Amino acid sequence: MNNPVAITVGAEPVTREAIRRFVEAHEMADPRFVDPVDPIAPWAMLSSFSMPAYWTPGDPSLSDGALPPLPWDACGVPAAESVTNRMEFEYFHPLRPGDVITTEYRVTGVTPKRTSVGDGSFVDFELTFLRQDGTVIARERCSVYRYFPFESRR
Amino acid sequence: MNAPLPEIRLPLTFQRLVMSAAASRDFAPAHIDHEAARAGGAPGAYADVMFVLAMFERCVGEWAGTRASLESLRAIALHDFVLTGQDAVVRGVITDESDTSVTVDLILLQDNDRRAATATAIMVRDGMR
Repeated sequence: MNNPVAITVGAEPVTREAIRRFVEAHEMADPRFVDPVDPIAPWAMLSSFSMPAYWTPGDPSLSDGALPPLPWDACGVPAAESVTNRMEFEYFHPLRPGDVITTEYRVTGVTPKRTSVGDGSFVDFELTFLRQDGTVIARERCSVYRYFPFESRR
Repeated sequence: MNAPLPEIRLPLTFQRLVMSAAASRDFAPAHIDHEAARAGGAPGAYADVMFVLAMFERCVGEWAGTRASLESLRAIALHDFVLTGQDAVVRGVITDESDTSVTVDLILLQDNDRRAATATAIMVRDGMR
């Protein structure tokens, strides 16, 4: 397996409170999400719990329109725009309160392609999600089209 | 085979969109601001992929209960914007089944059966992992 192009740590551990807010917003009735003894989080929250902080003390003030702080630019393929066009997830161990999620981003392929929206490349990523004890809990594979729109070419 | 799962339907109001974005920590402008979404070519603010994944997870999870767990979501494709002011409807169909797993094809529809997203879920019967 090649070296990661980026490694991130989720800004917050998994908590019952975060699970409750997500379950509330999406009206998810699975009793495992609210189990009083051993709750688990919806897998749909994986990206939330693996997302770094938008701002931490010492950073400049957050600019208006800031995007989620994900390291797609670390792939080394320049672009003005990015769009994810394919993804899949494998889930191994449930997310539980207290888990802190580290994500390793690897590039597994780059395919240059001119499309109807611009010139760019399809970049294939593999994301490995680990909890604090080093256990791999999930894996994501996705393809991101990174491109310069035709109208913005210089 | 091809047995349908119970349909999931959730009204996607703008209020719910903001609740979803906050619960997901996804504050990308297109998910919380109609003008920002329109500037990017969308008809209005639209839900992010975590909303779509939550709806797919609801469909298979509420059908399976504690009999099976989600093992993977494959071939996730976003075909169109998931927009506010419309219901988000998820339908699932069992396409394969064994003693250990169940495969479900999923589709998220909005008004006029407009196809917004599709995926295939693999459910593993509990105790078989």
